[in-house]
Amino acid sequence: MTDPFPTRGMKPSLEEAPTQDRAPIEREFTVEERSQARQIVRRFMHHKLAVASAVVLILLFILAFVGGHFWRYNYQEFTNDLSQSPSWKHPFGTDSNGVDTFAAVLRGTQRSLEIALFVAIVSTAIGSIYGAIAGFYRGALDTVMMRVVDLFLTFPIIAIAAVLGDKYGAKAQGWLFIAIIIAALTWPYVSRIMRGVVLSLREKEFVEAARALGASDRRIIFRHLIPNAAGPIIVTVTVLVATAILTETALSFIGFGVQFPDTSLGLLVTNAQTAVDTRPWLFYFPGLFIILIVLSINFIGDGLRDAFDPTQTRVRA
Amino acid sequence: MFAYAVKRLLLAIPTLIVSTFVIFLICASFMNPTSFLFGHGQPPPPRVVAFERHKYWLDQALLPRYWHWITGIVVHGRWGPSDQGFNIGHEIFSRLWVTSRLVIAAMVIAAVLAVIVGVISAVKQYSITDYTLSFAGFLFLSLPAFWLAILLKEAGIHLNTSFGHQVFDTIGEQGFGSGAGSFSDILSHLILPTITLALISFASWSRFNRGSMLEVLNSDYIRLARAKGLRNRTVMVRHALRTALIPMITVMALDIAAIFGSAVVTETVYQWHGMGDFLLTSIQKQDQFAVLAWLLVAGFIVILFNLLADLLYAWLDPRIRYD
Amino acid sequence: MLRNRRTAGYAAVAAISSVVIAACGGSSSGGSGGGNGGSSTPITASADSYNSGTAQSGGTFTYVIEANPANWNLDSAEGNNFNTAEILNMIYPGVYNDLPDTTNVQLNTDLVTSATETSTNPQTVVYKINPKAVWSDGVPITYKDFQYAWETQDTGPNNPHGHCPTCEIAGNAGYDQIKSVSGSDGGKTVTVVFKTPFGDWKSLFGAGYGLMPEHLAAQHGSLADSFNNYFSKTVPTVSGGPFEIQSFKSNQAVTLVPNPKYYGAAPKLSKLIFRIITDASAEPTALQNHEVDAIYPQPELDLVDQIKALASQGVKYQLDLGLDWEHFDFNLHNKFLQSLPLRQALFTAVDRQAIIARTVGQFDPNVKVLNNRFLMPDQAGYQDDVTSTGLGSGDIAAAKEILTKAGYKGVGTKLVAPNGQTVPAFTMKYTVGNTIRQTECDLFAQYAKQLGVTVNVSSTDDLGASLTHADPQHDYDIIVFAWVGTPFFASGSASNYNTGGGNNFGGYSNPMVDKLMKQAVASSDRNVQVADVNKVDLQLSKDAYTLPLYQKPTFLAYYDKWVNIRDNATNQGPTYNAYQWGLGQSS
Repeated sequence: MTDPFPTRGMKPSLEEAPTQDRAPIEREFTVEERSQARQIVRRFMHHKLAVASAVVLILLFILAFVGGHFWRYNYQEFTNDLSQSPSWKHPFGTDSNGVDTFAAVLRGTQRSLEIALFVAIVSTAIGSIYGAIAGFYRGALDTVMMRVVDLFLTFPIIAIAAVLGDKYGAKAQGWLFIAIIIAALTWPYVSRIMRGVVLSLREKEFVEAARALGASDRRIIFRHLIPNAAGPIIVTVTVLVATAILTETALSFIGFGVQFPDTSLGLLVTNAQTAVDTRPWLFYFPGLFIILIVLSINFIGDGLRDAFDPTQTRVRA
Repeated sequence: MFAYAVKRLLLAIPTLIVSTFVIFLICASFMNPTSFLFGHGQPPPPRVVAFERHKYWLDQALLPRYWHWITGIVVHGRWGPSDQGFNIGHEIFSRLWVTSRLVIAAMVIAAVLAVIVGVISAVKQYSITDYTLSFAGFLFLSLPAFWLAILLKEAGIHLNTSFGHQVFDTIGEQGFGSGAGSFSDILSHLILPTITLALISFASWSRFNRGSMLEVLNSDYIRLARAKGLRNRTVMVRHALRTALIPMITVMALDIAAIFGSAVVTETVYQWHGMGDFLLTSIQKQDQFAVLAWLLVAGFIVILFNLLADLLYAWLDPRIRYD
Repeated sequence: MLRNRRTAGYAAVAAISSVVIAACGGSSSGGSGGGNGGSSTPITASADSYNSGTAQSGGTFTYVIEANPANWNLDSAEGNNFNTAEILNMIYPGVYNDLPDTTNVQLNTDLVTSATETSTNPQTVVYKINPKAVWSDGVPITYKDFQYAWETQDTGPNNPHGHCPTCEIAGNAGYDQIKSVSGSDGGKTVTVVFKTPFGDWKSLFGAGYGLMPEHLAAQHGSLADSFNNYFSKTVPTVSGGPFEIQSFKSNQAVTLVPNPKYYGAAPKLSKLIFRIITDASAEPTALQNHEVDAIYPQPELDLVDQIKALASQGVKYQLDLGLDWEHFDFNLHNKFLQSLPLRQALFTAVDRQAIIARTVGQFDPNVKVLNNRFLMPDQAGYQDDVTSTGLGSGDIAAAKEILTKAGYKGVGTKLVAPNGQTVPAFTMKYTVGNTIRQTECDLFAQYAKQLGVTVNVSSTDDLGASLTHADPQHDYDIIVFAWVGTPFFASGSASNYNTGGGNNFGGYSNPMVDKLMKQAVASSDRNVQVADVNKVDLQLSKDAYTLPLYQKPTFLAYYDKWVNIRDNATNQGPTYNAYQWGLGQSS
């Protein structure tokens, strides 16, 4: 596992909190946000590795979700080329059943990206709302809610996933089950960040202004607080997503991940662990894809951090 | 400070209690220690089922069972029945000792690496060195633990062959031949898993250290220190690094859960018999109380280190005041 | 141990075939096996003397076993595990040992000076125990130790009211036919009288299931108490074999040292360590790294290639065809599978040659299609009972024709039974982590699909549980696993096919088979046994209940500095002669 929480201590940038001295507030807000978004994009574009990674990731998405349909082999198809080393016909070689490794890697990549997307969406949604509510209402509610978060953080993901996965991992839609477990155990990280940001935002004038205009709590939380915390949240989520993908591979390795007849990158590497010396293509290609995906996400996260929180990149600008 | 510590401690206790209840609930609903009865031959006679259910306390309702379990541990030091032929409490602490060896050694190495890499990267910001180190850091951050472990194992064996001498062992935490259990025996078994765990852990810390070093280096008081004419080395070590280490140490403490997770995988590759093996075997055998013991010990360690992180932060950073 | 670990298959197989292993039967069969590989040295010697040499005294040997010996009573259902047997070979002595040729058994002349069938009516066997034979605590080995083995295991189909109905035994073929075990000559002569003839009497009191010390049992309560608790849960403190257990570190290693009170030739090694490695993928690297001296994993393509690459470093291997054989079984508890034409069609569609080519054939070109369920190709009496029925030929057209003739509709698309019910999807199980079986199942599913039958493949992490699942939903419809053989082929297989037999998991029943099997087991004439089992075999093919695939290869790899270690593909394993192992004389 990589550190699921390296952003702790990262100060949520308050600079992007919009100025809010003019009315009507809604319009002002949107206009301000757009220009700010442009700024962020501009800063992100400065981070060349992050941009390159974003391109790589998009290509991987297309390759995995679209490419698989056009590739001449299916990941379950037994061809007559057994244990072949990479060639034009089979760019990543084949395994002892004659399954085209490239097709299998594409399928595995698809699974990894699906898990990544699922975790990103679900843990962001739950974590943001939860954290915003805790931070907004403060007091006893906040204390209780944050203790629940502490509670979740005491559960090691691998252990819980293994306990639950032993019963359900092998079932159909195993990847979804694994994604749900990972999301269920990672949203608290998002909520902690969100709460911290909201605590500092809620006293800002624009929130007070919104309240003075009669905005409901719900409106304030969803329209003002959450959007303004986007920066730190997105950065946290990239880290979580990278963690999620690595968690899936680790689970596959210890036997509680995605199961045959489905496949995943983790499962492919696990099955090929004895092949490092004898049929290296089976071990390295899926491994390289895992690294490629996770590395891209990490670089993108780094780029976003720079973009949202320019304090550390002063010198470069 | 003392009051703050007490307050944090008091807050941690209910978390621990509720967490024990939640893990109990999870294990009670997802694990069935009597499942083995129903797999072999004829359906077991009701008498046998009743006996086994009684043995694993399944004839008690959930709440009394929880109470029985938790008071058993706290009051009597009894961790519940197991069918693996060992005393759970005794076994898990001997396993913890094995894993601790690995985790502590790895954390120390990772911390040293993180500081060195972090400082160099920060001082030489945007140099080739910085980019190279950063890239390496990100790379290690992106490696699946077992993938790296398998490769390092291969590398270790090839090195042994080229040395013509057994420097690294790849199986278990100790040998059984001559010199078993000696310091060098333990060390040769420890090196490869430790490097694996250290490499995948240090990267995020060094990123962190780099960030906080930069922040400190850009701060006014460092400029002041330089302006005073202090030697660069003194500024770096006495002022900048010291301040920058604070957040890193707390992050390390918070990372303990993740490291334990990675240790499970690392132990599996190197066939160690530590906490990881204990957990996985117990899950496979549906040994409910053994899994509970693992989760309890792990949860306790995580909460303890979280507490430690908070206290360290408060203690090390004089800018923070608590009331 | 883990769900994905490759060893799961092995341990489970050993556990499953408990009854087979423990089962007994008389005479020996023809020869098979023998080394057919070796990295640098071609096999010239026969299997029994392969790698023999003069061993020096001293040295520590580390041998890998793949499961923790959680239960030390091999005769018990739970403790009957191949890995434990490999250790206990050197601790608990048996009258006969199974030899590597997988055919002959050898009298353990250290333990007994003779074992003779003195009468056939009633069948009587007399054993003369070596007068010097003692347990390591000094207590003599006597008829009481034989008696204990009998009394704890005599409750069975032929004897429902035995001495110990609550002893949780693994199997009992033969013991339930014994009338009495008595001693004379100061306890050193044992006379065993049978109620009904039992041909495979040489499988009793040994052949991988050694005697346990009765005098210790006597100190630990009733028969059931000592059998189920004491011997199962206690690391053996007293040995009657060449080695004794010095220490046991759970999940890690069992260390054996020579038994100072041993009454036979002293072992050569000064220490024999059984290192427990539960993940087969770690074994070749451990061998390469000199952490262990020999490994005995289930062969897989990469594993074999890895070992072959170590030839230059002095690693030698034996890739043999043993007595274990892989097969597909139907579960007749599924009412759709009670239809003979459907079973015939499915098995006809299976191309066994192609299955071998994609699995074991990739690393062992000697593996051939197996066409008999009782005898291996090299054994006298082996005959092809499968090909004539068309099973396993991969002839899809013929399979379709069988279905069409029987009135099935939707052949090749969505199969509908003659009674109008759609044939549901079947569940096929294999041992988790066993990629070879995974492929076998996958191929089966592909063949079935061409007939319009859907087969869903999934894994089980407890083969035993899946096989014997008692609930009416039954855990599998089709399954692949292996039987572990012994030289006692008739009695060994009876419970696999007899109506209600302990290993008849699929619920097969055929009165003719029952009758012939009974006849074969009772006979001590090998020709009669062969004739009977072959008739049974042919019937099994006609009934398309089970389809043999191939003889499983076994794989032993070790450093060539060691002599006298050799593969033994029986249930005793290569450690059957560990007392002879040692460093070769340096020339």
